[in-house]
Amino acid sequence: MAISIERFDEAWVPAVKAFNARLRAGGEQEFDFPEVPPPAELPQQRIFQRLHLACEGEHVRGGFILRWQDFWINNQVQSIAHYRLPLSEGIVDKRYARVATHLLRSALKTEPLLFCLGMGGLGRPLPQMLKALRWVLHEVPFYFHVLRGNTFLREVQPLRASPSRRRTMDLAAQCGLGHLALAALHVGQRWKRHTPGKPGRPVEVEAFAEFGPWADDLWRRARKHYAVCSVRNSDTLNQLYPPDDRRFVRIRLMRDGYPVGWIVLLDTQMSEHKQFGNMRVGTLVDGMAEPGELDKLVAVAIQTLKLRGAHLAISNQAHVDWRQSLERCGFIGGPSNYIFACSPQLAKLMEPLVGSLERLHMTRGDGDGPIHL
Amino acid sequence: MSAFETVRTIAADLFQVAAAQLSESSSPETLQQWDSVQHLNLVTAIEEHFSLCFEPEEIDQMSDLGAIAQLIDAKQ
Repeated sequence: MAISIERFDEAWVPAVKAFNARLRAGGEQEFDFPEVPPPAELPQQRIFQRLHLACEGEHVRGGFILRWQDFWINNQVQSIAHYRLPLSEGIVDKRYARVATHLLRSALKTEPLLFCLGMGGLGRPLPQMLKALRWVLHEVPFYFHVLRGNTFLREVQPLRASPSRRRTMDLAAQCGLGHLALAALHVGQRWKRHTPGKPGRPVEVEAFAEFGPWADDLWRRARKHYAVCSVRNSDTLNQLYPPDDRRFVRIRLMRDGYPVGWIVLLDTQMSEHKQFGNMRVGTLVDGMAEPGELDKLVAVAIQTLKLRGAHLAISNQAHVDWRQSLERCGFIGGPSNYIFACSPQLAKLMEPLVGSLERLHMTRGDGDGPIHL
Repeated sequence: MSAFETVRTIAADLFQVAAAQLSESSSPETLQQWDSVQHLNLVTAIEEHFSLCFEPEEIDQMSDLGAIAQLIDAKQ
């Protein structure tokens, strides 16, 4: 029977639940499709999403989500869509191997200006499919900064993969040498990246609950330094980081009474996490500032997380100025599985690509948002 | 060369099997290497070779190599 793409509404809820049940029965434990259709879009809503289903008669064989958002691309605002959570029954039943291609082609037909973000690494099926369709794929670098060395050594799972490594890490933690070595590593990184200059004017640091007109003003001033960036005005930011969501720590820098930068942090106690064990992990989720303010912003973020008791600070950042700031503040690069991919049509809008990718602002606040953190 | 013979040659190269092992009924169910990623690779290779562009609905009809060949004949 032919497969058609339908919008997800209430009538399809039982079929979506049955689809998810078949995926689980087939061994797929990591993903399932949302079982609640999205609310109706409001007029003039700039961030909205639509859920699409691949339907074979009354059965659902797959689905994908498109989430539209305004982006600043080469000095213009453009609405583009994030291609999210494509799921095909083909992952558990090879009779439906063709559904994934159908999903991707349908999404492109609906919206040629598409991007993907995250995806778990270049070797996963989705990035491979995107590469086959001549999408541009770009790794968004990962950085970490150890705040409490002994806990890090006892909990960081990738470095404790064998019994001998675990013994070494535990010994290093116990005698304090590990902590000293890590501290030296971060100091060395700061020294390597240090650029001498005049001390800046003093700043004030403030926590805040809600983005306001000050964020719009800052966005207008800062956006010229970003070739590709989701529009970070107050309306958008309050949707992405709702004021009543107490998980987010929101901090802004003030100079002479004017906001010159903001950063959003997460501070999460992990439990048996496959990478972080039981560490308390602080994430520099998102931020905005003019380049000259970034070092101070990152330094404030580190200090905030330290005072809150975090053991480790992490961030994914694409923009060259943010990356250099992280490095000047002692962050060290690690392996990244966070991939940005853009459709051929979107890549055309971003030309010249090399320069645009250097000044692309992609963070853990983009795409799906800071999930798993 | 018929459309099927060309499709078989492309598929053999992609799936790294001898062309003689492939038939019109070769499908993801009969060929272990034929998964979602390889299905897309097969579609794009065929599009490039024949200078065609398949609609999503047409991709849905590509259940086996024979069906792919029929689709190509219909579009040419």
